[in-house]
Amino acid sequence: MATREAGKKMIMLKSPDGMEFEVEEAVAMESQTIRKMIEDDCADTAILIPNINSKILSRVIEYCNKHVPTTGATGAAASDTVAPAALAEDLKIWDAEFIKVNRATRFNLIQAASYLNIKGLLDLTSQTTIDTISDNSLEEIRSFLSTKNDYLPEEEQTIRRENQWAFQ
Amino acid sequence: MATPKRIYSPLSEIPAHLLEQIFLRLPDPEDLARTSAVCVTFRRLLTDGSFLRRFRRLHPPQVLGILDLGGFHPAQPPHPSAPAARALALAADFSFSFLPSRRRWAVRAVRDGRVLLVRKQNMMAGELSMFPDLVVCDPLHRRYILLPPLPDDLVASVERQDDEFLGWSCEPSFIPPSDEEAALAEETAFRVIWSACCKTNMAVFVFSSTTGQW
Repeated sequence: MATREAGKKMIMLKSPDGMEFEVEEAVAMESQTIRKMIEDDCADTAILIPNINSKILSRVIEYCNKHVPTTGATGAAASDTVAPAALAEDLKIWDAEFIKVNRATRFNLIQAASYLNIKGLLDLTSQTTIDTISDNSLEEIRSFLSTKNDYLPEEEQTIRRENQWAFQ
Repeated sequence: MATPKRIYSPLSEIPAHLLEQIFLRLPDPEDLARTSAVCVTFRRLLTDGSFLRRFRRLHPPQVLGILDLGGFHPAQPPHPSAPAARALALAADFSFSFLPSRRRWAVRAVRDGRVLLVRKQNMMAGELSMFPDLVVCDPLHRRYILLPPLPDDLVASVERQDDEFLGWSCEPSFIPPSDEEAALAEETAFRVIWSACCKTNMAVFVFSSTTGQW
């Protein structure tokens, strides 16, 4: 097992397009899927992550790097000097920046978060979609999600009539 | 059937189980209703029984109104569930006209969209049962189940002399289904409890919709 700094195990993550990412084990284990592989000893020094291209995988690693608990793994100094509340606030701001991506990337991130089972990332990526649905009209939702309205006009009218209370 | 050609988009490429995970986070039932009008795929997913059951487990039900002797009183604006309450008042039958005719029923308890009613007794006609008939109904879908009478041996186990009988008080009510029942029948399960007490005796009988027995 490769080691870079004392006490830090490194893991190699490979994307299907041939890129390799060396990450700390603690960071990789933010993914419950990878954690299980490691704990079950199914992981050698390199893990192939299917279906997630290098562009998305690097964003996922960026997220995990930021969200890995600061105690121990990434230097105790940070958690000693910064109050937890301030740290959480900082993370929220960081998350808001992180999720400013185009639609396709966001949907890819949702799929990656689900496959790798990273709850925080799945929450974050899903929530933006939810906010869109809650705050906008049907036409805006369709355009934002680039979903085609495939109802026949009379079908849509019936559904709107039946659910009129939800459109007030 | 003439359905317009589906154009695949990023979101429709997301597998159904993931869409479900996203939609489970919608805050209100209103959002479910609106989202189901977006496209056919969404509607199929959002109206699926197992999805709705998962949604209900995550989102506690809203108060839609109060049901009392005077009927149903829907929540009024500015209460957030006022629009849904008004829709319910229009769609459901709170006069219970779908119940077996010529019987008069009185509302005793409400829980999880179900209403428990007890048959009113006609004292003049000499009707005086310790445990009158019970019916559980769903006023929205106009369905009902007449509960079987308490078995004689159960009644006999608590029955006292006539003079003491007048001192009895019997009260039927709903209790939540047990965990096993909920797992078996999901949200359609219910339990009804008859509690009866007098000065010297106390009895409790539980009816389970899963077994259909007291």
